[in-house]
Amino acid sequence: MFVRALFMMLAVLLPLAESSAQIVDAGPAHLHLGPVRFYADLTAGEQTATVVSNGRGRAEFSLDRASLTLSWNVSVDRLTSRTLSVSVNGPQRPGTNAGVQIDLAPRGLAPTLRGSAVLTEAQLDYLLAGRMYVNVRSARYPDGELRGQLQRVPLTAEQMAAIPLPSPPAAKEIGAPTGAGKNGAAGKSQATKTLGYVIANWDNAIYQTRFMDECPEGPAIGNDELWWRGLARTDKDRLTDKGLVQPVDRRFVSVFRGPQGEDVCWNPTLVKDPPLRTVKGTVAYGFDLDSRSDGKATPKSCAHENFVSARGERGVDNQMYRLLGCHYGWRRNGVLDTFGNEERRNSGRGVILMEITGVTDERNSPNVQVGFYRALDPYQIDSVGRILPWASYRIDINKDKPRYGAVARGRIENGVLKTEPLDLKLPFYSNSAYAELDLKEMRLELDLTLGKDNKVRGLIGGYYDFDKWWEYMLKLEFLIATGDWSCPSLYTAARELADGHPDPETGECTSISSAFRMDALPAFVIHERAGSAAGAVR
Amino acid sequence: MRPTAKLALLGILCAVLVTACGSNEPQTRGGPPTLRLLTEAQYRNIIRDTFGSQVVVASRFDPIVRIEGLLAVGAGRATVTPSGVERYIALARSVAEQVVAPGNRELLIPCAPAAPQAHDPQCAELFLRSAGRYLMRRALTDEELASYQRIAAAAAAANSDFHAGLSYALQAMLASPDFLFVAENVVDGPDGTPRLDGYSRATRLSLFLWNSGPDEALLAAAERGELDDTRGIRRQAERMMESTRLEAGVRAFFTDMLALDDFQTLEKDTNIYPAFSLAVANDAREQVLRTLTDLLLVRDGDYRDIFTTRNTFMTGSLGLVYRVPAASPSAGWVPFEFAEGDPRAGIQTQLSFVALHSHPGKSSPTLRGKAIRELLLCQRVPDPPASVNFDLFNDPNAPGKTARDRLIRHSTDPSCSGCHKLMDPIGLALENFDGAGQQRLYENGELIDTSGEINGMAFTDSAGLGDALRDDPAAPACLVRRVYTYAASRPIQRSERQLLNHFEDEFAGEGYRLRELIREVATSDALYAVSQPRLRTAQLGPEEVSP
Amino acid sequence: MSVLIKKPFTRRDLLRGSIGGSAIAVSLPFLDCFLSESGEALASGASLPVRFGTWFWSMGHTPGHAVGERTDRIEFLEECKALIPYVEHINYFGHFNSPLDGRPNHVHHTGWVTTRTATAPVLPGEIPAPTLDVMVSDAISSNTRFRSIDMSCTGNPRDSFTARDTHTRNAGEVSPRALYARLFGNGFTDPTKETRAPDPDLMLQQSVLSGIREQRQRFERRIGAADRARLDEYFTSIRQLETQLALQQKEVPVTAACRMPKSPDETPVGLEINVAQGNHEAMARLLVMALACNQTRVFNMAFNNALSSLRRPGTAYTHHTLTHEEAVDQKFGYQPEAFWFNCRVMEALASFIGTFQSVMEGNGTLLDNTLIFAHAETSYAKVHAVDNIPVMTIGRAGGRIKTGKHIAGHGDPVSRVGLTAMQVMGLPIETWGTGSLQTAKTITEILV
Repeated sequence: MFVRALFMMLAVLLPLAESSAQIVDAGPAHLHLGPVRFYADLTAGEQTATVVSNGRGRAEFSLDRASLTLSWNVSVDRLTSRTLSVSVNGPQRPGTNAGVQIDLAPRGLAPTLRGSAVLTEAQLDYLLAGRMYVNVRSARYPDGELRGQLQRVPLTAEQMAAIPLPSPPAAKEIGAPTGAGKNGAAGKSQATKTLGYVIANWDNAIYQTRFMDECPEGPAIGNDELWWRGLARTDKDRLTDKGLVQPVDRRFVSVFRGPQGEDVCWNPTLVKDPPLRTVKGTVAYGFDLDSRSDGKATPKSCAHENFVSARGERGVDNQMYRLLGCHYGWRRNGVLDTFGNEERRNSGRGVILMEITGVTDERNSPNVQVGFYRALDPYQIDSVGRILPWASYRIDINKDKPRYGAVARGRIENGVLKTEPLDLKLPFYSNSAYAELDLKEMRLELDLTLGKDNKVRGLIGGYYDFDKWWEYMLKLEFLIATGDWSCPSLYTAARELADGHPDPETGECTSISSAFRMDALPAFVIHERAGSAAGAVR
Repeated sequence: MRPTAKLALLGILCAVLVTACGSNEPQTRGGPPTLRLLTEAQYRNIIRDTFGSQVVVASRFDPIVRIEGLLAVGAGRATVTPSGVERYIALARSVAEQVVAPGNRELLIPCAPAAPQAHDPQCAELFLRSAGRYLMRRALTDEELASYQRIAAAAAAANSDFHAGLSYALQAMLASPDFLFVAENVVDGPDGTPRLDGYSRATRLSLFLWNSGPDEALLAAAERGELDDTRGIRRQAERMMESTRLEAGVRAFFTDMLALDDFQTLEKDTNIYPAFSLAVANDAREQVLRTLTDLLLVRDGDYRDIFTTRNTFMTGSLGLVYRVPAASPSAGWVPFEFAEGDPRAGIQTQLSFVALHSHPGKSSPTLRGKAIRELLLCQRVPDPPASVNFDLFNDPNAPGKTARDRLIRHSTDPSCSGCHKLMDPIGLALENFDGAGQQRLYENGELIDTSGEINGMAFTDSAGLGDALRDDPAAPACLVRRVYTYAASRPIQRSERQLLNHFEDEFAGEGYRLRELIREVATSDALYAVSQPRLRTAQLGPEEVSP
Repeated sequence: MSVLIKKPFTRRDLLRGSIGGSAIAVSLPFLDCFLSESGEALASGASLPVRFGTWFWSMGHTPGHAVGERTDRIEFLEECKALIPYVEHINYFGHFNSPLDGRPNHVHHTGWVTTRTATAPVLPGEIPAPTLDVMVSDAISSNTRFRSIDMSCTGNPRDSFTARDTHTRNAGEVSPRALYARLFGNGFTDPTKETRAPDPDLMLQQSVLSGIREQRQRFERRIGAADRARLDEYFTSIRQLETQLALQQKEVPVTAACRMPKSPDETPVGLEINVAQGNHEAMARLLVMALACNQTRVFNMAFNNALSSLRRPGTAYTHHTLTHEEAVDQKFGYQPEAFWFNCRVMEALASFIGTFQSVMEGNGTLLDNTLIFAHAETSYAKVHAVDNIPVMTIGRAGGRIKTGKHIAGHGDPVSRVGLTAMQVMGLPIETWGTGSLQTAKTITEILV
């Protein structure tokens, strides 16, 4: 009963208006799917250092979803010497060593070990991220004789099918008034009003469940691990100094794993990585970009699977989510978007403005225009590092025209802004890299109700131009280890999964449907050139 | 023209002249001569005027107690503590050393010594007399000069350096009471009545209009005896009022009257009000001064409009707090006008009022109401009784959401309402401004009610409050009182009541123009009248001492 | 006396009469000996000057939770538990009152004025008589570089409780860095360095000062008597500085603990509780070194302002507003948030005492040679009560007082405590105060 209630509660806990990439909860727990199972094959070859042993072992784990109790059954055989300990260690990177997380033999050693322990949230994270391994220490090899990484036992097709789809909303759930209203200048009703915003955070909109069920095989395998697996035994020791060299410092070696030592990001087709683990779940944030829910190819799109949104809407096209959703670096606690947002905030670059004009009523306006501009001025930050609302930003104007100034048509319904499709280019800056975010047929859904933190939140999506996207991904190469992704597998999968704007000659799709979560703060968008007086307030 | 017609014309002219010279000013005996400590701003200004802005004055100055609402009057009671003396000595030394330093000495010392390593009495005299005249605001006596020469000679000998010698003499000058204190000299007038001498008149006028010592022209006029009658004073006053330096004087006046020096210790909680930074505080202080000088000097506007004006100035950081567009974060000061009907009209809605008179983490209707009463209407609100029982405010069953709810007891409890009805209605009208001066419609989810009444005039918001204050005769009367008190830098005497009424009438007659009021006061006989200096020991008089 | 203590010196040296300086009086009675300019050496062997200082805090104590009523010893309760380790150095004076003779109780003002001046103010903001520390420094600070060192932890120099009168209030130093510059910057003779030849600059400075003093008569002829009194302090200070410069040309007697400290970092000043605490600690450390280096004998520390605007970051309420507006918690029997602040204040006092204790001097510590007069401006802040204001002496005053005692006042005027303190410091004062605050009754129970 309690479990059911918990499930129901968690199932509706992901409204559209979410805070930044760091979500506190992790979505539905799918308790009815039964325990999450893991296994590990223990061999000497998995040790970082060279170990000579015919020892073998097998560990099987079962994680109870409701209580986070991990139960194990471990058997070990033919060790060279007396067993010293058997434990689960983590968090590790491929070919590194980590500390003990769980002692698998708390009541003493035996050839077969059974037991259970309750995981902490952090340990759950490491487990789902594929960062835990079993380590068997022996007298001859006190650092470890046998080792095996915990792999997830894939969910079966039946189990995947048993994951419920969100149902469509009842009546008007969207944009229900929260009461506080927009604090600010007393808005006496005038002809039309202008609302200005500055975009603060921008994250890939990743739908996630607590036990990563949308990635039934486990997380995507990153470059580091692929490189590690490809190394000869003798090279492993040497290149990692028996596991002591940090992954971040190994990057210079690990991406150069082409046949002739080529950088496999710049040449992603030179090696054939195992196929990317893509999202197999059926729920995603995003928009119905091709106005169909059957996923069939059209003159303007390639065949692809559709998603159902967290609000139960069908026909959501978000192939980008399919690609990125099982990468730890883009999920919650992942670094790629979080670091990007922080770095952008501190650098003052890539400040994007939104200006909504023609607003007759902040809750309902049938006909508004939404302009996107690049700002000349950096964020105004307070003493703690937060972006301050109500600052003024000048538009970057070149010879009387904004450098970036696309304008979409839209309407406001019950306090939510929705725009018509627009081909939009944005001066995006993130993770120390400039990228021209090229979103074709962009749609925006923005809840204009000001939160307590003075933010408005929304979803922006469209077809991301493939070349522009990949260009940005290459600039993230320096984060390939921390973000845990791999260029060849990602590139290959992306080429297959791209679903928009087929090339007229080759038929290959040249853009990827995507969706981003964005929040913004009220701001004044200044159109005049610097030096002229600001006009009277609206 | 025929002779009789000429005579008639002359007669008319005389009559016109007589009335035009305002001779319906009530006679006053004046007050006692003052001994004022130079305020920090005056000290800095005199140094800057004498030695230029390349000489840096880096020191902390002891705070002065406010009396009758003005530091200018408190300066007349201030004294120098031991640590204060220490600081003045050190500062004097620092300034003196800068003046004689190579690079500055060529500009600031009008002659070169005969031999650089020895004392040169002639060159020293030239410098000491000319610098001393500006610093002491009068000519040095021969005795004084001799004393400084002795110091300079000894020091020059000890250091084998003429300029080092000058430096010690100048240091002595800058630490002397003649410099640090403005002492007024009373001499016998032609009819035997006590009168201020020319230098004292010059200093009174100059501190009033420019907040600094008299310049060359004014000193020369004093020396020629021109300041002994109204015509001479008027000529100088007109000259000084034409100058751009009048703005500095007016700023100094309003800084004192509006207690803007409280900004130095203003603190706002950065968690509650992240937009309020030191830059905002500095800009807020500057904003009200710009608003006032623009309205009252540049536009020569009606003083009462300070409560209703929608014209002000903004910077990037102020734009953040007021939530209005600023040309750019770094554009500096830009004129700004609030839209018609915007409740943010009048200086009472500016940060310099609402943010300054609030707590670090919340607004305060009582502090704001008190500030308006005391600073702008010159009405003193009595202190609270010691035995207030605050339990009345803490009804856990009905916690007040808005300040009005929480302060309801102020108006219903008879021991509170007497004083609080003076303050709260005004302050509650400003509750649309939170503790940092940011506009808000709601407090704790409840719509804020800013309606109220003052002097029988009802209002619904802060702009309405401004209209009501504009019509309150206490406001211009308060300005008159403050301007005169500031100029005289002493408490108002009983005999000067009529005088204030006269100034008020003139002020009203001239459309409440500040320039006119300043002119009236600067050229009045009363400002320069003195009674005999009191020879009995002083007690604290009936004037209040503000903590 | 001019004793640069580089090696331990013996009583014999003292009794012999001099170490490079003038004679030392050893055979005179206690008080006279102290009053003489030379007075550090006593026949009893105590060779170190006794320092006097005040420590002010506001918002008093939480009744029933600060100090127990028993008088056989001092019982520090929850709010004062930080003081428990120092109880043997403290005397607590309970139930001494401030009778006002019908004068108004100016909230958060009258209480400290009566305690420090033994006169109730008539007007708001008035300080009708010199505070006791000023009287002490007039007596004992004539041959130190500074008359007194005054500090305020709130960031506002106006928050000081030492004054000669309403308009002659000593402003407090608010920044540790600025305090350091004043104490150990120019003008400080580092005792660990070798003595230098007389500096001609010092003599010239003296001539500058005496030149100023010469103008006194000339200047005073032009002003009235009332204003002359205002100039008194000024000219006296000029004279002081002259004397000080003269002293600088001789060696300054210091204690073995005297070291030139390092300059503290620039810190923010303000009313957030942790900022005030940080500045308090930094300034206390500089103060004890200044005392060890004999730069002054008198000090005043104001931990918070009379209207305690101390606050916690992120909260809208100050310490003061909490004392009025916070409801008394039924379970605890006090105002929890206000109580929290009071505890922090007592912790600060404890830290102050500890800093004094950390400096070794003679056979004991600096604390043993100091008399700290610590008090508040009210007893129960919620109702602005001025009776039973908590007053303590801390330190043994060079062995001149007993400590560890809880003295019950039975409603006697609080001026008795100040009078006793001044007498302990050697002032020839028999009566103090006006009206019902006038007293001649020393608290003999603490005298040795």
